[in-house]
Amino acid sequence: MLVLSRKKGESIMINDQIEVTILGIDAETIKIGIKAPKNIEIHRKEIFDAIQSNNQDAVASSAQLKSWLQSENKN
Amino acid sequence: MTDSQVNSNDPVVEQDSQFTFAKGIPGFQEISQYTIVEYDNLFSVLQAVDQPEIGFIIVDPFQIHSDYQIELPEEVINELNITSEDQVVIRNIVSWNEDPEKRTVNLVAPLVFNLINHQARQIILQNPAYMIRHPLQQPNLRGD
Repeated sequence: MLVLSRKKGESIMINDQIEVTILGIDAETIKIGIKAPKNIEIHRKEIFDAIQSNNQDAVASSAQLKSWLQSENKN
Repeated sequence: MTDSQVNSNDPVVEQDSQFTFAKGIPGFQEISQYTIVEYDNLFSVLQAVDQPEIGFIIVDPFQIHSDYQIELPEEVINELNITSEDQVVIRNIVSWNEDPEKRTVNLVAPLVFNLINHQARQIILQNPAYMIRHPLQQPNLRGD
């Protein structure tokens, strides 16, 4: 991991298309501005992680899914 | 085309129900080919092609949450080549539980399907009103 120090108002460039700017610093919270092309997806990591783990919880085998849905229809 | 034995309990998988998730879905990024198998008028199964161990129960969110709203981001419209609203179908992943009260549906990350070019994607909504584990309250289909 690359570690850099930046002051408020300073930026970093990632390749030549993504610009990350430190907009403000308030105790434990840092406000970041990101300029990036529209095809670059940007998410808070904890949201992405939560969706990934929800998908992993929801997955089941075809046989399992079938038996769940069939028993549901019998009720 | 000669069909191999078809079990009468198995819904028939039609060729046109196959979709490509070019980026996979979070947690399963390496899998891109899925089919949709309809079960009843509420639930379907999203099944990975050739991988029987990978499947999801999916639901039409508008049937369980009538005021659900999605605004497709421009990059999703471009990526899936969506040119009109009527070529889009939205489904959401259900986390099943034997106990109906513990079933949840992920309203934060709907699956977006383009019925014309068969491209699909799980997107992440920025709307803070929706929950990843929203209780699945089924409409009463049986009319007790």
